[in-house]
Amino acid sequence: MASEKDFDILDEYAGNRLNPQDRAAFEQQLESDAELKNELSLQREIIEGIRTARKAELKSMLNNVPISSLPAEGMSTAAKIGLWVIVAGLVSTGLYFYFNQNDNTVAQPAVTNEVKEENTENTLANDSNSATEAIPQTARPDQEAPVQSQPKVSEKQTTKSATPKTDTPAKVEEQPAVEPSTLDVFDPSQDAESAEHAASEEIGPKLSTKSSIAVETEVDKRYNFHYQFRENKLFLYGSFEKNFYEIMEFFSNNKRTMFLYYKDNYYLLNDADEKVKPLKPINDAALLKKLRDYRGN
Amino acid sequence: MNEKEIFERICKGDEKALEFLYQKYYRMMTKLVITNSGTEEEARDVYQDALIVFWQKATSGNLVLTSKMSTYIYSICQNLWRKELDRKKRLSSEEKDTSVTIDTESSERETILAKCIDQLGETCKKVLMFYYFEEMSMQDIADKLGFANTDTAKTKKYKCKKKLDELVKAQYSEHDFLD
Repeated sequence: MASEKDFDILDEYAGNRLNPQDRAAFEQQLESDAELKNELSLQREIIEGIRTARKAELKSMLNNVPISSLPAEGMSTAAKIGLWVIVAGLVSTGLYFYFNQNDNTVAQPAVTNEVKEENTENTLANDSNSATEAIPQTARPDQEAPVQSQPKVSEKQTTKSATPKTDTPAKVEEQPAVEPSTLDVFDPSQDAESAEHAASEEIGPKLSTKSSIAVETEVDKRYNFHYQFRENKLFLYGSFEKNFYEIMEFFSNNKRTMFLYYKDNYYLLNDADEKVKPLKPINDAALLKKLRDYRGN
Repeated sequence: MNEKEIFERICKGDEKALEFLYQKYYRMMTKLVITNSGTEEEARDVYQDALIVFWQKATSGNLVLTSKMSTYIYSICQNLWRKELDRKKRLSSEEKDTSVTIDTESSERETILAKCIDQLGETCKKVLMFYYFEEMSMQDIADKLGFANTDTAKTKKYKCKKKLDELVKAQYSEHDFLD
């Protein structure tokens, strides 16, 4: 009969971790042990399941890597120059609008590394719907969207501001990426509640046009996919180096709601306190739809 | 990042390096399939599969590169696409009379397995994936997941695997899949 140790060896065998000698010895043992053989076949199936799941995860990660922005290999030099001229034009336009946005009554979404703070008195409603509802309202003139940033997105954002809804989504975009998120079930109502506190507690009266939240990414072994509001900054913990992430900021009724978009998921950012919190993907279908609509995907 | 640096980072299981590599060679690799009667979608699929094969070999420490990474990945793409073309050819010339019963059962088992894996916590999933798919060392797993040391990683892996085994066995016996 197979012992506990046999099962440990079997696990190593099925996981390709035995050296050739031990492997041969174990195969010999398998020949005469039907129970072990059965267990091996089950273990192989389970391990194959883990591999399949991981492969699917990696493929999904790769599917989210932006490719279209790369120039096609066969493109002629003239076409490449043309493309860059267009990009430069769009960036300039984006910057122009940004620097002139004080005159606008409708805030425009902008891509940025800095997110302006708002003088917020209150408050998100108590559930995720409230966050959803907050989105479609008219932004106030003093609630301007953030600042400059990376060319690619500013282009996108400028286009978006033409949508009927007049909000102030602000985006942060940076290169680098994060590990595939590893998140548990999200409770929208919880987060919305804390977001409410956030709005009411945190931000004191400030010059709405000047104050800003910088975003920094940090690697901390204790936190693999977390965030924190501290010292007027948003810290993202994890491997946020190479991929794109975006901060979406919405203002309505003097309250600000922030979301992180990363790898096809949206995360509510609760700035109620300075605690480090895990990033949990939003599951609420209605809210997701709104966010996707705003982002244009 | 130069070639060596990318490769080293990939060997360590750095997904950002993988994404970088994916972007870098996307056009080159997909062109191979597209110019050989493949669609853009098939090309992307083949390239992703090839890159994942490369990734798996690199992270498990079973790869000693004797050529440029692009050459190596390109040859995997070629092989995969050739296989796919053969498979298509066979499908069009053969009659499909495989046993439906077997297919149904095995796909049901796969679904159960996927659900059980899904029930694990994120850390558990990662530990098991890094151990069985990437075949990373316990040290690398500990580093990547922020465990204090390799013993913690080992214990975690042991417990997570045990939990998964229990879940699968319970589900399989419920469906009469166990002998």
